[in-house]
Amino acid sequence: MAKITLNGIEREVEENSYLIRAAARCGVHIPHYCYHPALKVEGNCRMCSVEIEGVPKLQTACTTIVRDGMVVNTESEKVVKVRSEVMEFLLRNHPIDCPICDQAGECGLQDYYMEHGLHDSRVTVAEKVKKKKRVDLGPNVVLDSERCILCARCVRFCKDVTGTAELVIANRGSHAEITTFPGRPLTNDYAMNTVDLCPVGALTSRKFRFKCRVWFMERAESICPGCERGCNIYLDRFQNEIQRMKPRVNPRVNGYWICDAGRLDIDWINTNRLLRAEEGGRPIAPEESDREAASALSKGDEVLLVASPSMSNENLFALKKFSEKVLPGSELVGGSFREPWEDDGILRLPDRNPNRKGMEAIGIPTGIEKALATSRGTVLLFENDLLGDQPHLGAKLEGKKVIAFASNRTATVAAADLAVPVTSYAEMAGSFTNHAGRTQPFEPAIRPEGEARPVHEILHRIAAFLGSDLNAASFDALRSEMLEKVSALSMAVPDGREAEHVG
Amino acid sequence: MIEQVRHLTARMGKNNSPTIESYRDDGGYETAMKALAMEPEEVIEVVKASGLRGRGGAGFPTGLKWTFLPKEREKTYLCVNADESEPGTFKDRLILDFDPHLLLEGILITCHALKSDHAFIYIRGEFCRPYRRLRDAVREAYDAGLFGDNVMGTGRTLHCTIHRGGGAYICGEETALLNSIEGKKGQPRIKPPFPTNHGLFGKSTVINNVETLANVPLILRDGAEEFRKYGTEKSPGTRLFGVSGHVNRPGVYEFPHGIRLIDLIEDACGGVRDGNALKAVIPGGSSVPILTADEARELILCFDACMAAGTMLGSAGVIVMDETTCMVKALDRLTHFYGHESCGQCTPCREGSGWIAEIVSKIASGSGTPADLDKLVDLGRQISGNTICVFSDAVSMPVTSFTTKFRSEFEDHVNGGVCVAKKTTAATA
Amino acid sequence: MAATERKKTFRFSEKREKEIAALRGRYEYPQGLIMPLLWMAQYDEGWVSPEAMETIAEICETSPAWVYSLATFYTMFELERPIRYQIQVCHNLSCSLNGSESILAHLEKKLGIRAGEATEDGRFRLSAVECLASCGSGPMMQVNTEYYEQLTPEKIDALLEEFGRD
Repeated sequence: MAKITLNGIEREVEENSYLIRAAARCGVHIPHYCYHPALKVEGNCRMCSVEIEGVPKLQTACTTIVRDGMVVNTESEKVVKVRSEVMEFLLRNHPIDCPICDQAGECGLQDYYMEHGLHDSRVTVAEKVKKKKRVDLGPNVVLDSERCILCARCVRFCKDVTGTAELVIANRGSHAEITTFPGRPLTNDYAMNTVDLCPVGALTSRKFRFKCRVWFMERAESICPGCERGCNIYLDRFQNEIQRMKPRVNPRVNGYWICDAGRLDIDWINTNRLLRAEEGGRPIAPEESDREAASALSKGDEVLLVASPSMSNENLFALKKFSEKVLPGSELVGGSFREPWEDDGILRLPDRNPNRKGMEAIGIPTGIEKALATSRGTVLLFENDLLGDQPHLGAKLEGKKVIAFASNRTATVAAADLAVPVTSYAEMAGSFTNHAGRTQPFEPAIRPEGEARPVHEILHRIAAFLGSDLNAASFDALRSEMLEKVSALSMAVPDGREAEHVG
Repeated sequence: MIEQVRHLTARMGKNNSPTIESYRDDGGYETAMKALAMEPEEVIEVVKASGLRGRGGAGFPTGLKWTFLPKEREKTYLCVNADESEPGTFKDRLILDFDPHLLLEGILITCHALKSDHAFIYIRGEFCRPYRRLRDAVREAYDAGLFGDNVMGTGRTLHCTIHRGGGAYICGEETALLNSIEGKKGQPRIKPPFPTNHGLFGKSTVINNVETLANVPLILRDGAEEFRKYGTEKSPGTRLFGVSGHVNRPGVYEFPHGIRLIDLIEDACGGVRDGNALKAVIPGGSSVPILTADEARELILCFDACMAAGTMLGSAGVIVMDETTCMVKALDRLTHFYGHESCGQCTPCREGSGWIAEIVSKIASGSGTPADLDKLVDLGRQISGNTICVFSDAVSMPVTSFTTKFRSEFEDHVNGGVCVAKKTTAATA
Repeated sequence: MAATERKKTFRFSEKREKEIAALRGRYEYPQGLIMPLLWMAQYDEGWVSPEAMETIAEICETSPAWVYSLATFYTMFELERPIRYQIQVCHNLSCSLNGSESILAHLEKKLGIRAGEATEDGRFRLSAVECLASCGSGPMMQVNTEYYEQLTPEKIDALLEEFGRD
């Protein structure tokens, strides 16, 4: 540890760390644009200049390594003045289009101008250098060159994180701008992280552009269900609809990023949902649905329950309990694994199921193929679109009574004898256990629409019809019981999260 | 009449001076032979004793710079800064054009002193003839066994690679130069680390200017004491002064440090053209503060006297302006240049250089306002001191000195747009 | 740069391939070869085409965008089209003090283009450039690789004639 004096207060900070980071850990935010803890240091924006005793010139905190005994002032008169001057330079050619800018409300220029600028403009609008307002850098990212402050975060990301180097700054001085090479668009699988990295409104998401003002949105902490990495995310909502997915920093899981495939996979939450129970395509009331399901299960036939590795631990645990306690003779297997993709060496892992590890821990075996071949009675499918995803397995449902518990309308739902609407991960609390055995909780981001309820609640109701108490109506009680019985699922203690940065 | 002292320029004007035969006829490479037999540390001691200071602009003691190399090091590069692009400076080109082997011998000796086995010569892209001459000279040197895997029969290896720039003033900044060789944009690096520790390709590196290295064979040949006989105590040796602008005989002149600027102008260069009165002089390349005629008449041309006079000797590019010069238009030429050449890395410089250029151009065109002049003065200060390299200071110095020393001319331009210069030869509208 | 469809590919000549092979050992990583290769391409073809940048990127193990960023940072590379005569007039202070503006104006008039533009046939591009370190001989200009100093309108006329165009 090194001892430094920060704004008059003595602090212990990590040796050999950058001053900007050391200060952040002490709760002192030093304004910056180009610095990002996960990118190589460039020191170009000059916003983080601070005064260090004994050094005549101001020093950038992002390039300065702390020394024992260093006396640092981040708020001296000189620092405050230089900061406001840097703001003036940054805003010199910046357009005044906040009213139509998607970044408004979460913009580093707006925030710091209010805190550190507040100067009167000495540039007329006519004098500002005009640049391109809408450049499609790739399928998902749009550039407004006029808004860009050339911090090069996006350039460094593509060079050092994805190694694809599609983005560069071309030309010099007032004419410098971000660009791709003609015919080589920004197509890497992580491209949309550049939108998050951009501290201003220069890079925007084509999907999110002009959809919603950011100050109207609220966010929930969630986990991406796209693969077994379990990237930490935010789901941002407006009017009970998911507007966008953003990475949530977790140095132990995903760092600062998420992949584009995961980020873009939110439309299914908002569209094509199964909102009411249906029997043979005819809508029925929830009670009727429960009763139908219960009567199908009470006939004494063999029952096969098919779980999915995309279900939450809590739902899987409730299902296991249901199978053992309510239907002792039934068989429970895990089914429908999504086709694997390639480990890309960054975040994506081959297994595209978010909770295979949780399913294993709870003790649900695999072997759907064999189970379907031998089953003769009723089949309960939980979030399994066998007809759509795996037609060779779907064919084996022929002649059986099928009850599909599903969040969305699928081929299987259409063909099922009874379809029961359940919540997606975005509408409930739960947890996934990732590839490394780390169990991560998520919270509901939106209210369930229609009659959709979490699987555990529905199972509890059906059990009641069958005369059993599953004790799974309360999520909290269910989770406590699960944690008590399955010690492997103990929740990861959230890491001390790094201060999240501008943009 | 002051007499030129021809040390560096001794061979200029001879037929075939760029060839190795000609160079050898004049005793070339004999000093290298002698130096290679010395211990590297001895060579460094001689250069230190000579008091040689860098001729690129900053005037840092060369021998001292060499001793900054860490004792333990994996590899050492020598990078020769032949990116001469400071406006008003045209003396390294003379050496490259007419005596490239003098530079190569300097490289040979310096690499021995630094225990370096590879020298890069970074030559500015616009220098085509100098490039061809240098390239031919390097080939001759390889063929003669001066470079290669058995340097002068010593069994040592030394390679010499010429790297051409592509049109970027900033590559004269030593770390920008390193980045440029590495295949990056020529943008200056954050220091520390310094090149002697972490330079080209991450290896220990010394960067020296062409004229600096051209002095090395002469110092080794004649001894440090002989070198010190010329110039002043703190600025020993001779200097190549490039004089341009409104003088009758512009050109490169070799004089010992310590001569009077006015003698250089009046005697060597035949005085101000057309018998006009002297108005202003920039003594060390466009980036140093300008002097009024009165200040210029008092100036002694050595590092310390220039500092004391509030300017710098810089690259010894002397730009002379007579009474017909419009100072606003003269500044306009320079600020246009800086606006064009900012590497674009740091916010204050990227935005400030362009902004300043726009304002000066506006004032020069007669459409400026008093508020523009205030803004210009403000920006001249605001741009400086908070950037990775000193380019922003190089913008600040002319802006501040022009607007301070010739304030009334700027005021006249923003108060009615009348240019006070009798004729507007500079940047004639 | 025109974002047109490109099907052509660029290859360095065998002679160049040999030079490139010899240079490889001089740079610790292949990226260092970008500038030398940009020069070779420009020298051989009169410009650096997008195809050439793709090829250079491949040789230097980097992205075409990276090569492009260098080709635009360094101002000497012609990226628009092949040009026969690159006429570059210094307009920095020392040359300006000696009348470079009138030289530039004369050239603009003679060539029928403004500084920064190229003639339609691609024979000439006229540029006002910064100091070329020939301050003692201004006004001056560089045409391709050669310097022409102490210029007068008459000298310009004679030169343009020599270049095959009045």
